[in-house]
Amino acid sequence: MSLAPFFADVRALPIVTVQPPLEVRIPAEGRGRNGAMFQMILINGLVFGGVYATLAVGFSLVFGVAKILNMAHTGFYMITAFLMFVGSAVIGIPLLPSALLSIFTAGIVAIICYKLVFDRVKTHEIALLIISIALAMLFQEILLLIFAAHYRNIPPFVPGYREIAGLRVSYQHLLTIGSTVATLVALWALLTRTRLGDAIRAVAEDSETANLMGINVGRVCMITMGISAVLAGVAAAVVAPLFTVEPHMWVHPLIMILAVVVLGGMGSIKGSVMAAFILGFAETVVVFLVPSGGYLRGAVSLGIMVVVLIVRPEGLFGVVFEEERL
Amino acid sequence: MKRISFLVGIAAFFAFLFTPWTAPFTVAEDNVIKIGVIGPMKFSHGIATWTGASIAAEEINGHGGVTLGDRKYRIELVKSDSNEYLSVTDAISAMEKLITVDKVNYILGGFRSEAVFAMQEVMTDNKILFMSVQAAHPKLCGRIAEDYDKYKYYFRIGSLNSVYLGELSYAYLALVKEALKSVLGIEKPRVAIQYEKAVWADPIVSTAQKRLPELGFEIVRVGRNSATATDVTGDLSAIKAADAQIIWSGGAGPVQNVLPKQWGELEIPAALVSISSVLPEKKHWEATGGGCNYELGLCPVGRVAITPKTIPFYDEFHKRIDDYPTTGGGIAAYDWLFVLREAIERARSLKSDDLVPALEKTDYTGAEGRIVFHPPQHKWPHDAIWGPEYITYTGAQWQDQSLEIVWPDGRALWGDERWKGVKFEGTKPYKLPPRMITYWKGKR
Repeated sequence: MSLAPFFADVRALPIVTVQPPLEVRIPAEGRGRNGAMFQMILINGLVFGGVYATLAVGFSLVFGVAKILNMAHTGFYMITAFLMFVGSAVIGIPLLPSALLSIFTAGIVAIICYKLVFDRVKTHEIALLIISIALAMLFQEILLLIFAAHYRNIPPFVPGYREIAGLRVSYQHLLTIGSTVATLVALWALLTRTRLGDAIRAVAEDSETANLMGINVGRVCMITMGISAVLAGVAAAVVAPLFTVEPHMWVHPLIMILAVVVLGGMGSIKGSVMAAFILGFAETVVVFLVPSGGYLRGAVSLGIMVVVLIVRPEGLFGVVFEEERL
Repeated sequence: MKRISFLVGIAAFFAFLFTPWTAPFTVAEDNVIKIGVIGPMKFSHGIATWTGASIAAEEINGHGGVTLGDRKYRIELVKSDSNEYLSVTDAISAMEKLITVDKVNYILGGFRSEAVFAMQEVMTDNKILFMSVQAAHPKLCGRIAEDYDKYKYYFRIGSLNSVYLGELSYAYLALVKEALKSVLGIEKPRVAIQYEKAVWADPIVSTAQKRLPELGFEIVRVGRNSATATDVTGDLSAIKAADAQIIWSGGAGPVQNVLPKQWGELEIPAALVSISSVLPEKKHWEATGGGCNYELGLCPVGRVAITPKTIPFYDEFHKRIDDYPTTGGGIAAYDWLFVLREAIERARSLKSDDLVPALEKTDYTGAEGRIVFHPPQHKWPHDAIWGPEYITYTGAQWQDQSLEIVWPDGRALWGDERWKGVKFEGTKPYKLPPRMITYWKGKR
């Protein structure tokens, strides 16, 4: 998505054509053959929500701990997808090892970026924001140079689909929902059952006091960055086979996860997960009930975010769950 | 006094900056005709345009170039990345740079209608010939009818305008309707329209909602998705729930790979008919993981003998970039340079103003077909005519990793007898997806 049209020369304004009004169509029970519209919205909403939640968790984590609004988060997601493509389609490594290698590499790249870039400017929030966007665009341009803008495909881990309530859901989509759950469980275990997790939560709670208590705050932030990129990589591994891989694939997910984390409450992982499913359902409702307005589904999600923020600026779970942030 | 002097100095500086010291460049220098080739050069469409133009330039230069009186001119191409997928502003800047910095004589290219509308204004400012290869909105030529003197420098060989593309897609729907009737006994197929939300597609969708019922189809759903949508499983689920037997889709963005990919993965039991700029690319099969098998749609040119020039161009293009020249930009760019050469030799001038009336007289048989432009009195002046005696385009279907031409198939088109007998050697029959036959056999 580009903001360029807002600043374009007036001669770039599109020719206005008269559009028919958007039609809200409540299908008549799928022509009496496939009733279950509610179940379809439910399942599709879970699928979309799972995709956004998987992406948003890592973003929320690094903000909560290192206070970095990392706009390059989906850039790591994109890097993992391309590495998976190279590993599996070009070199010939089986898909699962290729995915694991790619996820690990994304984590290393993130740690390097943190040491070389973020660590040096982390006290300047605006500079950090701009630099993270620049980093994402740098990733994009490097990948464009190497791969051009051709669309690539990663095969699914589990091909095929299953019929659920008259809806065909691919196994890869179900894997996405499952991976979201598994990711959250693993993250919870890390944060509550390990010394590293204790350190991460301490830094998130109060970095100065954590420092005074002997925790190396810089190292914890660096490790958190790596974990965040690994989570983005996990998202890529399960989500990229659903879509196509191309050098601009980082843009749309970034917009959606920004909406998710803002809606859920900045730094609240639990809030991010809830918000991801809320927006996933919102998009699904638009697609099913207003098909001629399907292109507005992103706008509807962002609109919901704006409305909630007007009513509750801290996000849905920003204050109530603050003590449970991590 | 000092302050006044300062202000005068500033004013003089800006006056110097914005004074057009140089007249629009219409005269070639050093026996060279410079043509700016503009398009999304990181994407297949821009690459195809550049490649098609390069092949033509080499052929023309190899045969002595363009003859004007006793002078011979060689063609020199200047590549420019418009980045128009992402930024219309970038496209404007790229075009201005071609004219003011690179000092090209003419412009060839353009892909997105949104960008080309804006680029037309640059064209009018500089009164420079703009040879279009892809943008499909009919108003791009409709503007010429509204203000001929301002927009007359714009000519379009490709893409066919979107009204023609809509008519063309009705041809593909005719194939599917015939197959559904003969194989499954379905007389009135149910169609789900699924088009990207883009300027070029709006006329197609609005017209189709009236035309399709007249042609014997039932519309069960009208969906519009964003061109950059990454997941259309919701749309596909709703389409299946609506019992659609045909998905009629259209788009030029990444979603045109995602849709067939997910259509194939979920084995949606509906025929997929696409007006898609990516369907005819060699990489489409790979990009969809084979999901596009049995997808039918737009293909400006296939490896069939539309004219004697088609197959030699097709093979040369394929050899250069390991892709089919099946996106419209490549073959349109190729034919454009020959059309331009003829127009220059006919007009005996290199000036854009002199070339306009010369181009209006074009009747050239190129690799794409017979190129004739609508006259100035038409509602779409300077637009290439589509028809059985002109540019026909083809319909192609992916059949087990092979892109086969399935239309024109020699039959009359919705009662238009002019199409009877129009069939190119190498054309194969259309096939319904086998899963569709299994699913719908015995159902209605």
